Amino acid sequence: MKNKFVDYLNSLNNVSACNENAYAESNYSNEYYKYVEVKRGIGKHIIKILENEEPCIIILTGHAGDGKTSLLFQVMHELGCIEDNNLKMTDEVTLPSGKQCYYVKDFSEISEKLDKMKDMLSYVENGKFVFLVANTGPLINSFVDVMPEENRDEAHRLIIDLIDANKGKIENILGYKICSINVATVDNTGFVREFINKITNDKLWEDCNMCEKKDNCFIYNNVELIRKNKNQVSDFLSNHYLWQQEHDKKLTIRQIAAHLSFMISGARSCDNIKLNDDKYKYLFSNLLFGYEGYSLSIAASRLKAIEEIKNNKYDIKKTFVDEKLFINNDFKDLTEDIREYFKYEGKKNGYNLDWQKSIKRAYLLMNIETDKEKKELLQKNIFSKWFTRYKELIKGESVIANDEKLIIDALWMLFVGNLSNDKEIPITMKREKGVMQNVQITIATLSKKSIRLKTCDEISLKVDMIDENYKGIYIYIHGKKVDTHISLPLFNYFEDIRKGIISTNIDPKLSRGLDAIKAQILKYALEDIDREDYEISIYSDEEIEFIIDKIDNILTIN
Amino acid sequence: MNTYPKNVKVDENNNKNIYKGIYGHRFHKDQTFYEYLIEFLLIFVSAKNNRNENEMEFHTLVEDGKKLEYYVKPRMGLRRFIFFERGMQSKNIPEDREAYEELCNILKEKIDGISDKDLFLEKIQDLLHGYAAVIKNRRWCEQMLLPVCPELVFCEAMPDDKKRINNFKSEDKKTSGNKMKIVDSFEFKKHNFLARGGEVYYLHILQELEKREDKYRIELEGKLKHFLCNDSKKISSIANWIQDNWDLSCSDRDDKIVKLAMGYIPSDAYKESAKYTVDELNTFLSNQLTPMNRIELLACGINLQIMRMMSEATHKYMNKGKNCWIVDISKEKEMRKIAVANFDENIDMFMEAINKEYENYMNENDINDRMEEIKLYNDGRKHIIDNFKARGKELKVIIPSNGKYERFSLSEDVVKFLVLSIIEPNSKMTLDKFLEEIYNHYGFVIGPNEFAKCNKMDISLKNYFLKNKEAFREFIKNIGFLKDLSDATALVENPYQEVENL
Repeated sequence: MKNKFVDYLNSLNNVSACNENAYAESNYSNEYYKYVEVKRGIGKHIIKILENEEPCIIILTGHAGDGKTSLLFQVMHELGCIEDNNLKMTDEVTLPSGKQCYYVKDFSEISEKLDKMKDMLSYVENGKFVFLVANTGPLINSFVDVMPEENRDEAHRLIIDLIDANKGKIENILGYKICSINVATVDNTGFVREFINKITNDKLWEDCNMCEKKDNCFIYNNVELIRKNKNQVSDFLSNHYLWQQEHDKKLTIRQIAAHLSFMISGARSCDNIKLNDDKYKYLFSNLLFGYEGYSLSIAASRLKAIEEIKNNKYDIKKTFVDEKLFINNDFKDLTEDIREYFKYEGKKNGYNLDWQKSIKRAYLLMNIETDKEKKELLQKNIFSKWFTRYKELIKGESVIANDEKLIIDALWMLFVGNLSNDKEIPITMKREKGVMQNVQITIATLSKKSIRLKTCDEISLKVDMIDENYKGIYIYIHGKKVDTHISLPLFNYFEDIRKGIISTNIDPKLSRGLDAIKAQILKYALEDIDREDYEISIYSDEEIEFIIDKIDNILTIN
Repeated sequence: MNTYPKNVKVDENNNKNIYKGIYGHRFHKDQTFYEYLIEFLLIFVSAKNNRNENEMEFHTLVEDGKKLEYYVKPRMGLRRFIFFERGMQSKNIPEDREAYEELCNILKEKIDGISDKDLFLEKIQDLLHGYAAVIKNRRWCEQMLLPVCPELVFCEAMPDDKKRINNFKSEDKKTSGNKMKIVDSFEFKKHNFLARGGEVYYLHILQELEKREDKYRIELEGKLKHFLCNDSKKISSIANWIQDNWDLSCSDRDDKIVKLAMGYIPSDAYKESAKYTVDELNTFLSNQLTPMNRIELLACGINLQIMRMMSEATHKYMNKGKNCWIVDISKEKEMRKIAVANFDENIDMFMEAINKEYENYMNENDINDRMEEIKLYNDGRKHIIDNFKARGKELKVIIPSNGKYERFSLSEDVVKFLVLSIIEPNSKMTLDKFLEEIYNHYGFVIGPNEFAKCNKMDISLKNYFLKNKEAFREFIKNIGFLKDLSDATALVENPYQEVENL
């Protein structure tokens, strides 16, 4: 008995986006699409604009595979504007409100872009909506080129700012009402939970019940295991994809769908299953990391998402459960189904590192730990000490003293190079690199009391649900905002320097952020100096400090 | 030759510079990395007349036939305090040490509130010496500090050995007047280290500022003043305390103001890039950076701009179009070959220009001394070609630092300067536009579009440039200036805030 849904899943991880069911393209016309479609908050937001606002151009951009076409489909389908589940390259449809909407499925494939851009601008002037799915490059160039020569530089700047700001609101750009949404920068981790729910839905696996190979089928077994450990699997994967996002390695919807479908089937079809197969042969926790048992899967190596998860080396990170699992061989915290399997594997192949890694992967996805503190500790072990707290902060929890303590300690390390209990952080004229300076002069001081960490509303769209945007985390000095957002890598870097782990070789990407933070803090600290009365502090490596009270003809030291 | 300022003549004595017609007066191989910045800032901070006026301003009156002057304060007391113990000393002139000790004693008398004044002075020396820019094996008075505040922007000073020895030999050398002459005998106008490269750069800027509105000049002056003074007032006050007390210790003290006069630049040699240089400087100074970071980066930027000037003047002289520097980022074999060939073309152009000027000079002048002929010829190689390469290698704009296959490349600091000087603070532009800008500004060729523009489009090479562009995209992303917008479009972003309240 063959379950056609397995073939559909395999078409999602069949690497090339040109295959028949690459998640978007012709995918929505596939019979299974309605079962796996994840409706996105941004689609609902666009529908609201089409229903309630004055005609404008809605621009939808994003990376290839981010789900732009699916969003267009979602919107048009929900508004009842398409027939036969088919989107045309361009079409003019009538919205439920009676207004006209002209959509373009892919602006890059339009041959006469300038003419089309002119047309679209005129449509809006004539009271029609335009819904434009576009690659950013051709879009920017065409928009700029249809503007009068003298406005082109400004048009270039404005359209870039609009797309980059990604506010999702209608704005006036040189007289044209445009709403730009860039899905490339929007958190798509919410997709994971729903997609896992959908692809493991009983209905899609009903055919397997009649299959004689069912009890020996690793695909069916994987689906069963994922269903049983759904929360754990979804939590781990959402965290992982968020980690990727925060480290500038965001995966697209297409890459995530390929990853998750590969996790189940390992790119194998029902025909590959034998009657006497071991159902644990390709355990989903191994497939997710690109392994078939202990060996690396060749098919998996073509998937970007698997390359990324392997790079993170989660399965060799030290955790608090290592001793319990690997020394005591105590598997009570693993889901029951796989305990015996790992015992057997250890006996058969040896209790080696490959075995440990395989257990670790299984533990991350199928542990039954319920203690909240232990769950958090595992997240800290795997992702980083500040990962959980960072998530809480961006989701709106209030800053507490411990968060601010991290910032204060980090600023001590950044400006001085060691920690102290003093109330004031001295800011010096330290050289950036290469030269020994054993004596420093303090050009300003920063009182610990003046340093605050705050969360504030982000203007640009960060999450799929428009109404529940993430917060941005910022340092404030004397009530003035330091403009660089404190990202997760910065939190982790601050923790490292506080522990004295990193002294040189900082990731240049972080150093840009740090330079900007230091410069702005110095500015605020200098502004706070009382010009009439300021002392000069000079101190050396040997902890000798001189405080000059006054300099005129006589230099007075306090 | 037309000069800027107009009709200025240079008195060369025995030191002929036959290439001034191409590059102006002058570039010199002994001028080191920071000394271009220091010399430029020295002119800027100095008074522009003997009434001590127009410090921290650009010259506004440029007259025909008149060299532009600036009046520097040597601050030899301060420099003796900072460098004497740590630099090379003239061992057979004990008066130098006596003066140093006298200065320390004077300062100790002017300190109140502690008992261990020696320790305090030692720490102040350590503090100031920590900003050393050029030490090498130079004598104490020839050493230089980074321009952390106006008082530490030193002019060049060499001990005037002639005067010193004459006074030393004199019978009554122990009279206080003669002793002071020994102590204060310095030559300030040799231009060995501050060898006028900073002057050439200053004139290049001034030439463009003449075309701009006063408002623009005043804004730039404000930014340079902020660059030098904003964060370092405390260091200034310590430096002034040292020098003022030295000056006050003796009313005859000879730390007089010294008048220096600039040479000229050929009026057309640097015209094309002048608008870029001024705008880049203005934009760069608008960034809110930490003090030491901005000094390092500006030094880097000025060296890069000076390379551009040398290249532009060469192309102009040879009647060639815009220069084109093919940058190897991908480090792939084919790309390296293309870049090496391009680098050789650039150097050949320098050689041709120098040969041509040398021949012109030889045809017009009767030189019978073979040694002088060789020296004149070699000067061109040393001061122009070797100097151009030395600037480039220090910036890592020319790689490798040793050995063959020399070619243009880009380093992290250079890219940082390019971003901060071309893109306004807190602004962005597409990667394609940025590549176009750095081509327009410097002739850097990275991607296929720019390669096509430099009139050499060989379609078979397009792929190498695409890979090269991709490698640049990765590079600039890794150093934190690139933001992926979506699909193939990326933005180059200047993440720094703008300096306010100037």
